[in-house]
Amino acid sequence: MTEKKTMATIYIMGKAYKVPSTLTIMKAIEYAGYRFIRGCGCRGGFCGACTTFYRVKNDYKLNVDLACQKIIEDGMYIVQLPFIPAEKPIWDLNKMKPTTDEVISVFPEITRCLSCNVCTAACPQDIEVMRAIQALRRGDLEKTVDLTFDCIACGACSIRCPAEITHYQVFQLARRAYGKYVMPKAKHVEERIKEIESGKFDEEIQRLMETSVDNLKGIYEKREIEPE
Amino acid sequence: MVIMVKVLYYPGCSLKNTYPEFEKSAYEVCKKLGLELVEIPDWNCCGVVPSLAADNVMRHIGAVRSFINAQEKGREIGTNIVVTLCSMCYNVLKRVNLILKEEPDMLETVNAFIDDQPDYIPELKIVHLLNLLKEIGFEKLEEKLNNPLRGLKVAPYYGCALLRPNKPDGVPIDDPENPTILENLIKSVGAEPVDFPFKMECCGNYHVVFEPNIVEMRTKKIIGSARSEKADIIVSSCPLCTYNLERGGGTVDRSEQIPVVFFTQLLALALGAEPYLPTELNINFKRNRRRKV
Repeated sequence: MTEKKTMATIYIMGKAYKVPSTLTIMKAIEYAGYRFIRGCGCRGGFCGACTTFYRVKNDYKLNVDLACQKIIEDGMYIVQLPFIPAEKPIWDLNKMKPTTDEVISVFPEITRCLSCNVCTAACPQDIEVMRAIQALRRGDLEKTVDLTFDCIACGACSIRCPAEITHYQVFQLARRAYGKYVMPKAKHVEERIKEIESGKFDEEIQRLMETSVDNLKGIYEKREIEPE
Repeated sequence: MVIMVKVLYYPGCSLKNTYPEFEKSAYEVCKKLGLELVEIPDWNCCGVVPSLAADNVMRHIGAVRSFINAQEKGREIGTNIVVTLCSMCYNVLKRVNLILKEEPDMLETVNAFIDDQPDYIPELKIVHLLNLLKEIGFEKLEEKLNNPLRGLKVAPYYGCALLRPNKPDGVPIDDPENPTILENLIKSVGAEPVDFPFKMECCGNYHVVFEPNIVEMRTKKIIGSARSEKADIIVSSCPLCTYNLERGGGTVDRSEQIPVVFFTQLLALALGAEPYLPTELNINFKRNRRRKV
């Protein structure tokens, strides 16, 4: 195979680099010589810390993906946004009711939604973000919760929104209010909490705390892994 | 067996949050009249206030997305009629639909922007439930009455959104200078409409947020005028008007207050269906009638 086929040119902060074409964006950046000290996150597609905006040559669309998941394309211009500046209102779940009106009163920007759907286009998790916001206007909290289960709070939607909605924070409140007040309580959790409070695991924890680091590593490697 | 006619239905946010009784009573009334309201799937907020700038396409995307969903659903159930209850939603949807019908450029721009849904073909007909009732014929209502509201004096409050802006074949659901559609409806349920000069005055609208004194000044006039004509209740078709008449403007003397109900609640009561009125108000209705009959 020729080098042309296996290598691709990508642009990191505007500078061209030739990198193997099978790498993820994150690995390609590292291949190019950058070292992630922060903003690389879990490398597993779960944490939303490696949000990357990119454009491919000759395409007007601005795309968003997670750097640890997306395989590079030739002619990709990339920029990473590991942190999205956003206002975070303070709310007290204990003083709230699980209604869409309550969510809207904490995040009144929701009512500015223009229905442009740019948020949905920006979502690396393929969540129907606009539908989830509009469901709140329709009084349908459950739908918002269902649609946004996969949200990793990367914030790409919010940085693209012309109405300055911070969707990921809205959804977090919606899910927490729904989880606390609407969903059935998990019985096994209550039982486990009782066990913990009654001191069932105190002795074991104490023993672990007194174990040396090397022994801990051994115990960790031999640990029981939960079945799938 | 009653044959149910299906029409598309756009509820709007206020009916799902602040005033569910408006929607619930409307469902009851329509069931009695053989109308099935089919809620548009995944409708978006209408945009609340239509843009006054002719080229501000962006403000109308929400309405158009709802039209597209309505168009798809309408094909499935065989109708192109979209019914609204909220006056504001009616006003916005009607105006946006008219723009799209009359301005092919605007339609093209909107359809090009919405690249994640099918194109909108402006064939939907946006009507207010009052229009539809009139078309069915108020005399049909009279036939179905089982609880005529005799002796009840009702002030018909139109507000702005049902009648303005005045444009031939446009927004107004009736004569914009002297509408009578609500009066006819009130008569058809056996009640007595009162004529009061402020029936088309603006309630102050969204000024309730930042300039509540404007709303206070206006609603005092409207309620005072209905009161001086001895109205027992006011009927409205607008959640925001209802809110302003009931709660807008901080210092309105509550002893001067007249109950405000949605026209669908009045209809449901007369048709012997559940009107979703507050219990207290139900009693007042009965008392009023007993006193007057």
